[in-house]
Amino acid sequence: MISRVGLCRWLGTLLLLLVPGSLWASDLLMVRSQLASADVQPRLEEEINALGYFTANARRVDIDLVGAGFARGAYRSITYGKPDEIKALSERYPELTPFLPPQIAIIDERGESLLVALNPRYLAEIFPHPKLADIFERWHRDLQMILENIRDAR
Amino acid sequence: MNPVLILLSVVVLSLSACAQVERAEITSDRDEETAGARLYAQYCSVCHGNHGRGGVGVPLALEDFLESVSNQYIERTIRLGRPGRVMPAFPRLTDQEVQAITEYVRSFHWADEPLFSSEPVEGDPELGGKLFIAFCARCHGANGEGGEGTGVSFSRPTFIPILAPALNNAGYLASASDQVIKRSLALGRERTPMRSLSAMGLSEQNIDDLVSYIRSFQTLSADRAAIKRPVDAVLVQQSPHSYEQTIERIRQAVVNSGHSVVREELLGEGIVDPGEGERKQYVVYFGSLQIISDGLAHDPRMGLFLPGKITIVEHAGVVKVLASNPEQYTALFNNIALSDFAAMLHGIYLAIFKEATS
Repeated sequence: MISRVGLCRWLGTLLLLLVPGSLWASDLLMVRSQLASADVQPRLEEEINALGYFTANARRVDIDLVGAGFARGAYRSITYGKPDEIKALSERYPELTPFLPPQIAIIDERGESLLVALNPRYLAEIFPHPKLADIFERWHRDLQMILENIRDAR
Repeated sequence: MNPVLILLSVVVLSLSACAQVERAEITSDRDEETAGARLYAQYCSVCHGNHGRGGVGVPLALEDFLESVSNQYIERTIRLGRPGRVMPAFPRLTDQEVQAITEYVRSFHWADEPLFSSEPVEGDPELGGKLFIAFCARCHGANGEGGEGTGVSFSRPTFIPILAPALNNAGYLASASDQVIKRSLALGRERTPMRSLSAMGLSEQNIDDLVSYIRSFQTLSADRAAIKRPVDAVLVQQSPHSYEQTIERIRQAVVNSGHSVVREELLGEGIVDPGEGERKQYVVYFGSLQIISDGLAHDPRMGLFLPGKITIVEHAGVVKVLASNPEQYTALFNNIALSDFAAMLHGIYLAIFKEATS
């Protein structure tokens, strides 16, 4: 009888691990990395490039703030995309351009980093065009993988 | 068969079964710990930190916090979140997942779950209101709206370990029983600005009055918690001017609005080859240090949308200026503290658009 309980608990635990995470169902995708933001940025570029995306504008954004006395802590930004895709989407769907190319913000938090990006599924909600759905879903999948790899990087 | 041998076999088998059961229990407990740790890493650590030390979210590994809240409080907080106060709701997690996370959070400080009576607290909310103004409002706000800002690095001095929570928040009021509120008030939270009201001389009746007053926020919180997305995610305005003229007029309008052009480029520069055809998609980034600093102070994740970004495109012979609508930021970040900032930013975009396209 007790071992049956144990089995049930084990199956329950297994179930827990199989249930897809709803973190990824939110409007933002966020992960924490144990790496400092300066170290995260090149790793992030590597992960993005590994999936066939180009990166641009990888930079520390807060330098002017700090220089002017608005000291807040390091904050970086990076944009990425596939050239043909960004070109085609921006030409066919100009209303998408405020969200192109996709961006990831890296916020320094006491030596760790918080990475934040708009969930491509959010774009699918606000631009419910059937031809865009597959693209946003792939972006979501890829971004999720990129961020998970950064989260687990040591 | 020898009866003694049979008896011995039964005893040995029973002991073996017991040992297996014990191992199964331990393994299961470890699995639950592992599951809790994994789930915490997946859903919580991004804001609360890998070891519960806080970040964008409040620190959880505070002894006084864990000793003054029930598991039910933690579970309901995970389920309901804090509408408008950054902490999202997790309605899709199973009960087992929520319990596993709760157990893991509990493990930050090894102590049994404190027991709470389910008795409602009876006090005088009117007297409690006066005490609230005297003892609580300075940090928690006159209406229990909580401290401003989020995030350790950007929005507040790092020596303050937590922000004063919003006591009028629907998620908080639905999570905290009267007795949980009462204990928090009575004991305070060491290593935070929250002091023990008992130690400050308040009687138990005083604290009951305060609990009744805080509970009265429940009638106010529903409307405040309603955060809706704007109808339009994109601000768009057609320009009567040429593509080149519109870019120039945007630059001028940015300056006239008291801001600076931070940088400008062809859309996708660095990704899309600039030599590929005659692309008419241009981006002007703008802002002021004050605006960027204020935005980050409200929520460091605003870095995703700062500095401001205006795109100018020519499509099918029509020139348009576009931007993401700042009014969606409050809902996106579940942060009602962004409302005024987002409205102000929205006004700036509209003013720039109007001047540039007039």
